[in-house]
Amino acid sequence: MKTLAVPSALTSACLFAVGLVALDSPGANAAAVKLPANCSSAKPTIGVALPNTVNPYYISMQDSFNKHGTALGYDIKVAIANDSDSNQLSQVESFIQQGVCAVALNAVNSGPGAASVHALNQAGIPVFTVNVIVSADDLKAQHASFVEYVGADQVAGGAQIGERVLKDRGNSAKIVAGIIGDPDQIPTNQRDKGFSDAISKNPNAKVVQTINGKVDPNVSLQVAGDMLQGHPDIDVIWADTGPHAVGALQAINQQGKAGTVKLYAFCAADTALTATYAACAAQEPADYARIVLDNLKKYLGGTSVPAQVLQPLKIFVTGQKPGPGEVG
Amino acid sequence: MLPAPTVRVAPLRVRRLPEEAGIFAVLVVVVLALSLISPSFRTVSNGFVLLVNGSVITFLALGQAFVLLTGGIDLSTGANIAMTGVTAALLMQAGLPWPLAALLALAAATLLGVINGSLTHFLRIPAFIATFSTQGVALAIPLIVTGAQSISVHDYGFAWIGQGRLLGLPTPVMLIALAAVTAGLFLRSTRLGVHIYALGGNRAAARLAGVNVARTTVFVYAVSGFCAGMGGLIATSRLMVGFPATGTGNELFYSIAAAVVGGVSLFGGVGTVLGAMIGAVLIAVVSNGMNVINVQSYWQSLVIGVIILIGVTFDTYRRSHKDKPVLRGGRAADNSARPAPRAPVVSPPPISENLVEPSNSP
Repeated sequence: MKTLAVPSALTSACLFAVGLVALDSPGANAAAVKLPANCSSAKPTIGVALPNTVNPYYISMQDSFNKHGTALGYDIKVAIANDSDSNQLSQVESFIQQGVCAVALNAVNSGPGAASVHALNQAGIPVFTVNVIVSADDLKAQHASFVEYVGADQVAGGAQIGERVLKDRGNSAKIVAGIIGDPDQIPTNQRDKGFSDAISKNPNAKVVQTINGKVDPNVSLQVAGDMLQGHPDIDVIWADTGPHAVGALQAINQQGKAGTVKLYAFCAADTALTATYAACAAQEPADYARIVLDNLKKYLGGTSVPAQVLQPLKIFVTGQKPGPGEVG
Repeated sequence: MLPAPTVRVAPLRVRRLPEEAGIFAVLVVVVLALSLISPSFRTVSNGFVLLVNGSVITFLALGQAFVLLTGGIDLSTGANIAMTGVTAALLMQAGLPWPLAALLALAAATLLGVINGSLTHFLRIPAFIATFSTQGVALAIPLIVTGAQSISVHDYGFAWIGQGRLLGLPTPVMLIALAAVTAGLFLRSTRLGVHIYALGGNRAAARLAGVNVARTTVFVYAVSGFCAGMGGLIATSRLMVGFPATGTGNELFYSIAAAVVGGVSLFGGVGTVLGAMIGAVLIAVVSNGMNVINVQSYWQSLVIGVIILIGVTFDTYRRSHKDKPVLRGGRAADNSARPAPRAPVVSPPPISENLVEPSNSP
């Protein structure tokens, strides 16, 4: 009896282990196929995490998520992080607690966004990232991954405007440029790089200062004013987001430099282009929201979707005006 | 007959530097250093840009000084800026002429201040909590009313407040100068001004001495609300857009720091408007200077922090050692070390002398 018990215990343990392994051995796409329970309900819940709603860009995106999501039969829940990474992470965790089907994440900042992706991975909830690129290094370090990234081709946007500058001024004209950017965000850095690389084709063009506008028109107004004072020879300002452009335009006008300094930017909402505000690149955030939802629907249906969708930008020049929702 | 006593009176010349001298010296040193580093910094036009950029924080510091003097604090000023700006923009959008819209927006800002003061005094809520709560309300109102949209201002007369000139100087600079002079005279020369200091210095004694605590408390918070409203009008006028997130960045913190750096005590009863203004200008100078000399944005907050730390340490040292001679050499200097002039020592002449020779008495 005793001597028989041990082998039978061992045997059942081995059988149990084998059984576990058999259950657990994943096929190649088990992670992709295994969706949260909510996805099979009549009206799946999609969580949308946005940084703020004071930038017209996100207002347009939010409206599109709500409208298009409802049209597709989803229950859209929007969480606004008020520009705080930790806020966004707690909101994502709250989505996980609510058991949502999927999450569309527009990270507040590129680095900390990886933590939100990781948390969603752990819960088995598919993640689509939009607009703000989540840092690939941080994703790798945390063994996190998302399904798809939808956004503008940031580098191309900066490059297109840079080329526009050279077209307006000439390929060998002396150009002294100042940049209003936000070094904490990968997309804006990509735009700046695209712009700098494009104008560097002109040997007489140089960027004398890059200043942080914190994607806030008030800050941009002040720092642009300081930059114009510090470098009176600046004749081109590159503002890599809409709010930066709003502040920069006011700074140029208020210092009486509308005749000597030209502003090139990612479009400010509802602002017509003038001789001073020479060209801008517009994104269509409403479009990105629509693409995310359409591809999400495909993914939930079992079709594979591309790893990234880069949308081209629309360029506007003097005399034109971007339409509503066409913002930088 | 005894000789008339000789009287030696110590000279009443007491050479004392004003309280604000320390922080003013720090300001001068920083301005000189930046001027040496960058020729662009030491131009008049940069001076105006610097002052106009710093005008909102300076207005907030002025209002905050009033509240700090009574031992309170106002955390709602930043949100009040957003509320005032959006209110003005909405009123102009509704068709009101800009002066009326501006005045009504200012009234709303002052009303928020009155609410702060009333909550703090009548409900006995700590000022920190009361103003923290109203900050949340004031932040939400513009977001709710506008749906988080920015409201463009099309009435170009409104631009005068933030972009125009008054008597040759930029309007915001003139407005803050007028406000500071008025406030300084008010605090020094009126009864209510003295009551404000009394309330902060010793609340119980002030109450027992007959200071109307309710009126004084509500007044200082109303002043703070009014100043925040002025800041909101200036910020909105400079952008020509009513932006719901205006003033929710560093403005609140820098304005409190400006007042404290300028010598206004967080515990109340000590400080002057001049000190707060010098502190605000110091912060504006450092912020502008960092950008003009092209310091990378990552370093800016470090530099601002270090300058404020050194400045306040120097000022604190100076105040605690003010009874020691500032300048060595000479009797006058030694006498200036004493906190109060010596009273003249006179021995009264004997009574018999007075009766016999009245002309001898000095």
